Amino acid sequence: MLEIVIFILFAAVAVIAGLAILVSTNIVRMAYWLIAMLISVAGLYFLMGAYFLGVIQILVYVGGVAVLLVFGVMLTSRQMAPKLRPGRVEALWLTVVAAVLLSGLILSVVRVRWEPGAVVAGNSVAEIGRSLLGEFLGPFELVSVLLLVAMLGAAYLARPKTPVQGAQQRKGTTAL
Amino acid sequence: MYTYERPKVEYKGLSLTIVRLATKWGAIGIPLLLRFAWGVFFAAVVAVVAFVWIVGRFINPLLPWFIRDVVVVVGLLAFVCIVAIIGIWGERKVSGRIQSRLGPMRTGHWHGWAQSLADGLKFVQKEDLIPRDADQPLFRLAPYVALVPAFCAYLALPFGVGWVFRSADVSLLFVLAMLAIEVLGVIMAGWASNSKWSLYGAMREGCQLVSYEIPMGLSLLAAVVATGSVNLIELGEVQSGGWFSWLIFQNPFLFLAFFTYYIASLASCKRSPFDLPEGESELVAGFHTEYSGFRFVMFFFAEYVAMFAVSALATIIFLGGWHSPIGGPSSPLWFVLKSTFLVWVQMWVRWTLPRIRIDQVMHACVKYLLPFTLLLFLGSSLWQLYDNPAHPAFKTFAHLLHYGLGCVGLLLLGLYFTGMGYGYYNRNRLVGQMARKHLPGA
Amino acid sequence: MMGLTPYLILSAILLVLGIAIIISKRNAIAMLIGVEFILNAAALNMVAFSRHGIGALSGQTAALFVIVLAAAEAVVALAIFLNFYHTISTVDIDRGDQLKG
Repeated sequence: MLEIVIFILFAAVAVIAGLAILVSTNIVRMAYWLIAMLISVAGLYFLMGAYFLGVIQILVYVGGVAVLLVFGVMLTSRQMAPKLRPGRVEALWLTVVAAVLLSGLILSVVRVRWEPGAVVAGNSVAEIGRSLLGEFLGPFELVSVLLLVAMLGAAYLARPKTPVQGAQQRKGTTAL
Repeated sequence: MYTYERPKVEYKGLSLTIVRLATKWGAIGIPLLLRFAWGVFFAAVVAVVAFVWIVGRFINPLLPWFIRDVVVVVGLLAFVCIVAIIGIWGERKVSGRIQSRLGPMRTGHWHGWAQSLADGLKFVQKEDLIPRDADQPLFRLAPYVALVPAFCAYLALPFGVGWVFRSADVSLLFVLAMLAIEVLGVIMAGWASNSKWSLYGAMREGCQLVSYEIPMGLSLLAAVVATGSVNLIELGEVQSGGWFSWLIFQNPFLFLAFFTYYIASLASCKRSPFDLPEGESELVAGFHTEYSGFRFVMFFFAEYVAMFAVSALATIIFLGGWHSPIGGPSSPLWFVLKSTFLVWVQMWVRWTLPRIRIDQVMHACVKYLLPFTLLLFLGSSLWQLYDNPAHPAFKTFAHLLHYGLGCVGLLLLGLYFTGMGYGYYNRNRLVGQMARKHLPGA
Repeated sequence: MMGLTPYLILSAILLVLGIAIIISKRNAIAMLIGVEFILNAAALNMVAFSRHGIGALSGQTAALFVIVLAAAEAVVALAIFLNFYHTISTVDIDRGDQLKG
């Protein structure tokens, strides 16, 4: 009973966050609704017993990706004036497409008779570690290479194009 | 004589009705309530007990854990508030003594112990100012987003073996995650204040906090590799054998990891020398410039609560947690004592070292601290690999180094106490003229 | 107990919300937010299956990879968007039509 109540709580927060992002025009508010959604999904992970995954979601997603997004928002929304809104026709098409897709997905999910398997429990940290170094070793190494490439690519893409003012005189200061 | 006339507040509509009813009923009701105060108190106690009994009839199987949860959460809230209050008072006394003055001496008649309470009362009755162009919901929300995660970190912090709210398998990562959410509250505050100074403070703080989470996590991971568990209770229980079994002495890499963790946690709590987000002499007050009254108190509380939380984490992982160094019974009091010592060292460092610039902060993290902690993590892993009976020569070397580091630790402790004794013995000579006649024994 | 279906329905709703956000927003960073919705929906799906016995613990590991990949992708996308902003001085992606025609 308690599990159902908590599930409905977290699920409601996530869905309301999505709807609020759809409706809102203020990009900063959208970023914070995203954070609300990420934390409620982390709560759902905790509810499902994936404790390590929930904690990593908060550490990496909320503490890293969401902060990055908020920084991006603050760096690019200096001019707050133009509120970018979709037009009427676009909103109609959007509703139709979303409704069709949603109904298709939900019908296909509800009609299948899922066999309830055994609920997985146990020390998830050690077992995830073992599976990362055992069964999933290939993807693990590939992901580390991918992260390195992403870091290098982003650092190259986001470099200042014109030399920083006074960088020749003073060594190593930035304009932050 | 000039008297200040408080501007008359005009109430309208619903507020006017409420004020009228309140003054009408309050003029009779409040003296009546105070007359029968004890009776009201006992009636309230009886009502609460009856309510709990009635509710217990319906949720009977859940009642024990529900009551235990409520009691523990209330206890943690009280502890957190006491930590913040004593921390604020302690900071002012410590800063005063380091600067050759006395700190608060009057409120409460004994070294100003009630200064924090007086400050709290002062802040509560201040006017609640919100800038007109500020982002209203985010402005109001930001202090809570900064304070609540700092408190949630205590839900997984064990004070002793049975003294934890929920013992989770991932409690170390949970505490780190809660301390990572605080970044968002500070950025929200800086943005929502709609002021250049707040925004600069928030951006600097965001960079600093997020960057220093990595050395923090890596230093703690070096200790996790040595123990094999992320559960804080197991990390504490490994160190149950007195001074020489503490994780800080197990490994030269762990010894250095403690110091890198401590430096990174200074940056994570926005303490000096990484003080730039609140740069009091530069940015007015950084990201909380526009906050006044009780909202500012929440940010202040969040800082002291986070300080104690990171010190508690260092205590559990490196300094033996709740175990006593001299082999007596382990108790939460040892834990609180050690964490308080680390908090006092944080204050000591704050009032001794100057503030460093934001580019120096980032360089220190990315160019020095991060590679160093990576090396420490690597070294700790390799040490665990070779420190087993299959390599007897290395094992004896590791053993010697272990006890050598323990002796180094004892030496440092001896130095600390010697310094304290010297300062106390020569307290009249070292302190400035004005404070001399107030010192004990003067 | 809970069963599998509510988690799958929630994941489907989040997916459709993410697609709707990507379609309807003109701000580049709002599109990134929509992508995060889609990734979270997929990860939630995988963890739900893993919990109910289909695939042991590989659902959680897959969700871990999803989180890491989302972080990498957000970093690169944000770098590109910052470049875009520095060139065109706006984040309205409808203005990014220099290659048209």
